[in-house]
Amino acid sequence: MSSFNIIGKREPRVDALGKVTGAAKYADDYNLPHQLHGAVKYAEYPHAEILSIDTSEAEKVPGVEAVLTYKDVPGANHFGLIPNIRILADDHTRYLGDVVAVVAAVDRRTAQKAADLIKVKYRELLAVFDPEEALEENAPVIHEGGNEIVHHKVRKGDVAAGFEEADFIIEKTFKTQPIEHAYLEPEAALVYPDEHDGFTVIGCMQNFYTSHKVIAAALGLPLNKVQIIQSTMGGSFGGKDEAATLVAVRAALLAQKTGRPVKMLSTREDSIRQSYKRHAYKLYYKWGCKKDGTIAAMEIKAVADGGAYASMSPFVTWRSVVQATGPYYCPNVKTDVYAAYTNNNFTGAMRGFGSPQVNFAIESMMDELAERVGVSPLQIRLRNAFEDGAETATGQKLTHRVSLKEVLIKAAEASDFERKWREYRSEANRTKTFPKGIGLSCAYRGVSLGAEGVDAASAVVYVQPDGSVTVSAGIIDMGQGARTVMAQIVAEVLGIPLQRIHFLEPDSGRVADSGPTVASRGTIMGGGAAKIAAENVREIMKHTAAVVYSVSPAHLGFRDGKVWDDNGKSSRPLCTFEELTAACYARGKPLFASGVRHVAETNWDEETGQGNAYFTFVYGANVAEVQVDSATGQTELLNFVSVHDVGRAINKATVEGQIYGGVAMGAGYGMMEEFIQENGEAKTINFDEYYILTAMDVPKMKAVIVENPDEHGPFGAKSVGEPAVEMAAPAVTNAIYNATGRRVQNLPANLEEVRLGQKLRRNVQRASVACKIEPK
Amino acid sequence: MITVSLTINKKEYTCEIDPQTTLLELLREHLGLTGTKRGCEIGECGACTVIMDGLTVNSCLVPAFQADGSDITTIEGIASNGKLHPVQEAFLEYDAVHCGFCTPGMVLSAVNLLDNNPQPSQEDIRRALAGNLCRCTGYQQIFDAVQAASKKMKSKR
Amino acid sequence: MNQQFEYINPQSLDEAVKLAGQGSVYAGGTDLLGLMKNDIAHPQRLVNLKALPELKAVERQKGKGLRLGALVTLNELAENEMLQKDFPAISQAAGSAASPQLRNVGTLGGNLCQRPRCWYFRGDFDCLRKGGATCFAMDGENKYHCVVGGDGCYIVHPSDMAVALLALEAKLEIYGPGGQRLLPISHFYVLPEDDPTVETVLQPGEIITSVIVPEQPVGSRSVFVKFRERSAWDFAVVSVAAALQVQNGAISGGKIALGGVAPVPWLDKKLNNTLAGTALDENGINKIAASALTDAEPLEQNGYKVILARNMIKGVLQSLAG
Repeated sequence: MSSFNIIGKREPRVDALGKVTGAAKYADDYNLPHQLHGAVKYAEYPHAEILSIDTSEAEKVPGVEAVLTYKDVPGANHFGLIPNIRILADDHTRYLGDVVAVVAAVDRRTAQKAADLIKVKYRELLAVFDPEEALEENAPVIHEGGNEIVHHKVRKGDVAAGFEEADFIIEKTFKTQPIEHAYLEPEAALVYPDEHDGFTVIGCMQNFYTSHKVIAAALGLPLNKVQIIQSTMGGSFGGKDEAATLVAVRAALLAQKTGRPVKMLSTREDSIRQSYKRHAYKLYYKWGCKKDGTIAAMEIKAVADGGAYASMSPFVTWRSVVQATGPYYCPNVKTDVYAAYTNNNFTGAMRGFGSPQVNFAIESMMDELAERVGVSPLQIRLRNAFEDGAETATGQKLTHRVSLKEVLIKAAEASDFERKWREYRSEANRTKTFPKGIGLSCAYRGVSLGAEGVDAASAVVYVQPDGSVTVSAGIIDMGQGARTVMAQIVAEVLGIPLQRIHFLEPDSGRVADSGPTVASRGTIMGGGAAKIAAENVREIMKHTAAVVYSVSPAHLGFRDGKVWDDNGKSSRPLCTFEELTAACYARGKPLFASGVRHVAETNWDEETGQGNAYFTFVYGANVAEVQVDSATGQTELLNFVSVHDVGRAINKATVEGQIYGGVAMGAGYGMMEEFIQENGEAKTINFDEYYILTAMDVPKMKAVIVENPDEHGPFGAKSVGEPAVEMAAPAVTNAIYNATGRRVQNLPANLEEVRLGQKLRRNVQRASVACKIEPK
Repeated sequence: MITVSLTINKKEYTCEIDPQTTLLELLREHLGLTGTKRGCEIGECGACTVIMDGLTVNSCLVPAFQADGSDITTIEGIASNGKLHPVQEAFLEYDAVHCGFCTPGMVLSAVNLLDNNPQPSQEDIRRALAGNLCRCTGYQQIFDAVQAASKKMKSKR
Repeated sequence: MNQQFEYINPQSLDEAVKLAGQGSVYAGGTDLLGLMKNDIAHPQRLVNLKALPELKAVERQKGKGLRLGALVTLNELAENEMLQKDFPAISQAAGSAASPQLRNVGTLGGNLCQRPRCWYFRGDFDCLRKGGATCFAMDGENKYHCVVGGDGCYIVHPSDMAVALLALEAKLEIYGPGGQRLLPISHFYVLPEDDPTVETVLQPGEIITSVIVPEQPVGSRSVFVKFRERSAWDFAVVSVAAALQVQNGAISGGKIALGGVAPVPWLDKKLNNTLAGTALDENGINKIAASALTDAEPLEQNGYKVILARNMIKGVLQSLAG
């Protein structure tokens, strides 16, 4: 039985009321008197040298207040993990979403009209759109130093010996497609000069601490002269990092130049054209297997398309290399993961972050192995699954509860997997016009950033003199429910109702740099920081109570809005939370405290790929049930079961919400989503061409929550945001296999893939062509 | 400039606007009713959904001149006298609101459905919401909320 | 909308026709606004038909068939019980288009006069259809393009309604400066070989006022099916409409029309010649399906449409047989 008051409850979200009434303010909902509007001038070639930029005609348009090129950037025009993203293109264009100039004018239409009058002279360069081709000698060079962004390795045991030992080899190649985040709110920012020579930025940046640094550096100002205010965010899914920073920093440059407020907003077409995508991967998997279904060796190579700029490619592909062998025992491993520059849209963080691609390959391979050995997909996974104390491919010994078998069995039970799988693989089913199929997948995932970066988050809890509470955090809510979760944690620690907690808009001046809200670290890191901050406040209250009521602080309890003396067998209330608050203030003890959660238990050797990659892991399993129209190849999703060990569910409703949303996004990745580019030009630039699942397409879903509390998380909580999405696609394609006997090796499993077993799109993109997009 | 007169959330407005102005722009930029969201501007996401003369429409694809003389309901007009509509209450209760950007359009499509079909089937709900994209929820909790609102409204009738 | 234009609300059809000569007719606007946004249409004047109630009627007269006003919305067609019962292909086609919000606004006439969805046509490409020299789809991304009837330009016509109406052998009433004319829908659309820059024979100032659907012979059945990648919004990858008469287990008359395969709603000659007299059994159905699109010349990425269309024809015939 749970001894919690609020943890685990289905509390309504603390920020939902304004969202159902229309009162919630998103970036584009902010306006100021006399604001100007920005517009951009795009690159006209995916790869070219810029010879000259003529802005004179644009400047003459009535209503235009400023036209800026890279020459007008007072500070740093470059940023990024590898700082090669240009705020405004300088010497070269590298993809068609590069922006050569920006305009501020009295309204959007005037600004756009002026931007269209900017004339740029280019010298076309050979472009390259295929990452493997980009890595070849003599490929066009996109950045100095070559096209290889990164090469990560894992070396364990002796793969040659492993293959020698094997009874048979399974070798397959897989391809995954680039996809768009498709947050419903396009990027927008409003920047205004303040009265102290600084600037305030209101925008929808997922990692606003990074945006803060980029904007200050571009304006040539110290950090304390730039204030970032995070508006309510209409989704992000990893997408509003550099993409939203670019929109905000361009607005800031225009505001600095004109001295007026500037609104910069992306249309959907701008958003899809400029923003980064999920990496396309080509994956080469070779497993040496034994008759008993175990795996003696894995040799894996993966090449990721990084596009025009490095963005998060080094980290995304690092997660891929760590997780490329899946949660399965294998003594001999050799994995190489590369990312390469091309002239496609750059690629970066997206929910999953390097795991959906490898999971598709691993889980397809695992089903192939089951087929070869003649056991069910469930049995083969149980045979190979990590257990408590297992050692991963990177040599990390798992010291937490490894619940992989538990989630697999629960998923199989909730979906009647074994029976249906046997029934559907029969000739009687497969020869039907509408055969059904059921597919299983599972995965493990390192929680938070891991050895890829400094991992710390902060929060501030302030109990006001009347006992109401404000919470500020560096972890932001993009729709995933972070505020509600953090508020529940604070309410639990202080023993007060959730309604008494008010969450302040994230503000760069209020809470210390908490790093990005990524990597499913919101609850475990941000929630952890909120818990520490609340505990720090409670300590102050305990010491005051001990003095006032002459009790031992060790025996004080906080619940039901009261403070209790829990000494001995009986509990007795001492006072209300408000009374103790008043007593604290009366004694000069303001109730204001911060909390910092910092984790430093990871390490990594770049050469061998050995080390403790993550401080803990989560485990999940998915089952998809489909019906395939054998005549057309159309696949209908019937049912979906998604099981996740989240450590502890702080709020069951938000956990389920994350799971349902993850299933829809992951199944869409499996079945229809694809960002299509032709010679670097985006073809799918709005929702008429870029498909996400509609209300008519989603299956009936069942979410199953498993709780094995983890010592690292607040009240044992770990993660769910990315686990929810990362293994759905192979569950769908394994189900299609069960129905048809056809293995989908290229995502998405759209009609051609399912009906014909291949993509009709040309497999080899035209190589290194100089190409020109016809101007209007 | 043209003159457009219309009723929005039971209030009458007369506006002087450029003929190119869309109903979405009129609501957001001229009247400050920013609850109606701009998502795609081609009628493919439903974030800008409003109810016009009893029918849901994409306000991004309705020129303001076409709305002349119309009766419009936006998200700001769904709660009455400070009391939430049962659909809004159910959205809160069933955690159907995540990032919230699709929510105004979803609520209006759901309200319009229940006005015309008080006891919809699961299939009716899916069809009625087919013009509203949501990227966060996978729609499941939204379906549950609409079903619950239908029951709640029936018991009150 | 970024363009400047004059906006007029005519009070009579004659006035509308007079004004439409120098502008664009505005009905639901869902396609026109997109064309203006994409810089493809640049009307100096928008002539709004909103005030013309005579274009909004659904009438049925004994013996004369059905008259559908051009301004009837797609949702009105989809939800009309008489159509659902006696002309299901019409209500099915209307109900499968776009989304609820778009169906509330989009009209029958507008649906018939939509411009192609080809991403080169809609994008910044100076393509043949926009007066340029070349079709970019021919060697480009052509997964959604036509497999038959393309000649220099490889669009598909996007209208679902046209496919259903073609199978039902509907006629269009067209009103213009030269008066009224009545045209079979099979003569309404233009192939690229005749003129790659237009889709229809409508002349400046001409307006479709209504669609006349003949009463179907006793024993007729009609059906419309559409294959698309998502279950909402999407235009057809391939669609099939059939309006057939069946006697003693064999087809005695009627037509099958295809959408998504050609630059115009497509009446495949060999397919339609195979219908009459063929039994609706497995052999007959296979024979009919195999006769479809035998003259197709798919592009690099769209050969699947031929298989898809034949399979969908099978499905349609099985449903009519059953």
